[in-house]
Amino acid sequence: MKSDMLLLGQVAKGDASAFHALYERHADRVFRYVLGMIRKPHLAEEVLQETMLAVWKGAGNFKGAAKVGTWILGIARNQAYNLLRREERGSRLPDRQDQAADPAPALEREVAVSDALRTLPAAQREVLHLVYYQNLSVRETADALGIPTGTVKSRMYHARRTLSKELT
Amino acid sequence: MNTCERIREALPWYVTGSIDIEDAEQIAEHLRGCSECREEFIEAALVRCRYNEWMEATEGPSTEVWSRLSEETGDGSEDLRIDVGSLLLGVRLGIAPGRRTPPVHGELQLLGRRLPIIGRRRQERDVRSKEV
Repeated sequence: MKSDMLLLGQVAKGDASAFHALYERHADRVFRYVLGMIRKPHLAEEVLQETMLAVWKGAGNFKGAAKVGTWILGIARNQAYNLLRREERGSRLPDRQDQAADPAPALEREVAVSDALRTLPAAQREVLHLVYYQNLSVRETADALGIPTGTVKSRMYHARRTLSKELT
Repeated sequence: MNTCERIREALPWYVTGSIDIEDAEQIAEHLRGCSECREEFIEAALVRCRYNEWMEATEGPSTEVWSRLSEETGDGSEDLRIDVGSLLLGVRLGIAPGRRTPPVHGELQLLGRRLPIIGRRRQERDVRSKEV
């Protein structure tokens, strides 16, 4: 199997099959990371698309300071925050109607989790996701987000306590 | 910060197992003797369980995302693209020998709509028709 680094080098030269391989390898992880932050699958898909487009266009700018996966996650993070800022300013259209009609989120437990997540700041939601879903250590989480380990612990502590109150 | 506070802060990583073995042993030892921290441990595990259930209940990204990306990037491997006509009525032909899908694809552009006529996108449409 080709390494991420090799694939990205090929993407920088315009190799579409390498781009597809990179997409297949990272799309689900990026999608779920963004979903944890913004909770809405159709918006998470939008961010995933923008992220991968940025990878396609910016592959040649990759400096190799971080792992390719971390670099992609960083792009997704910026895109997600941009979208959240646009949402806060109310400049986005309302949610798609077909999403509201999706039967899956109607399940009570899922709705409860989604509602509880809404009470958390985005900065806490992303830490929660990296720790609880991606099983990153304190150090790995701090490196992925570029924040001190103490901040990771503190955000996780508050996220967990808030969700605990909301869900138990 | 007292011992209980330090333990409680580290509980999420104890729950996921993403913690040094020495730290894990220290937490396990503390939990044996501290009922309040034990309760917090159970809560931390429960929150993780509920969060991951919610995450897993959501399917991964749809194939539409990749389709749209392909549109944006033009699959990145077209050696030649020919556009004939105008925005109202036109034909686009793309030639990409390196593709795993057929090397030639084409679209009829009519009043701003793009209708695949040759190649992968047409094949996808045919597959969808069969599924329906």
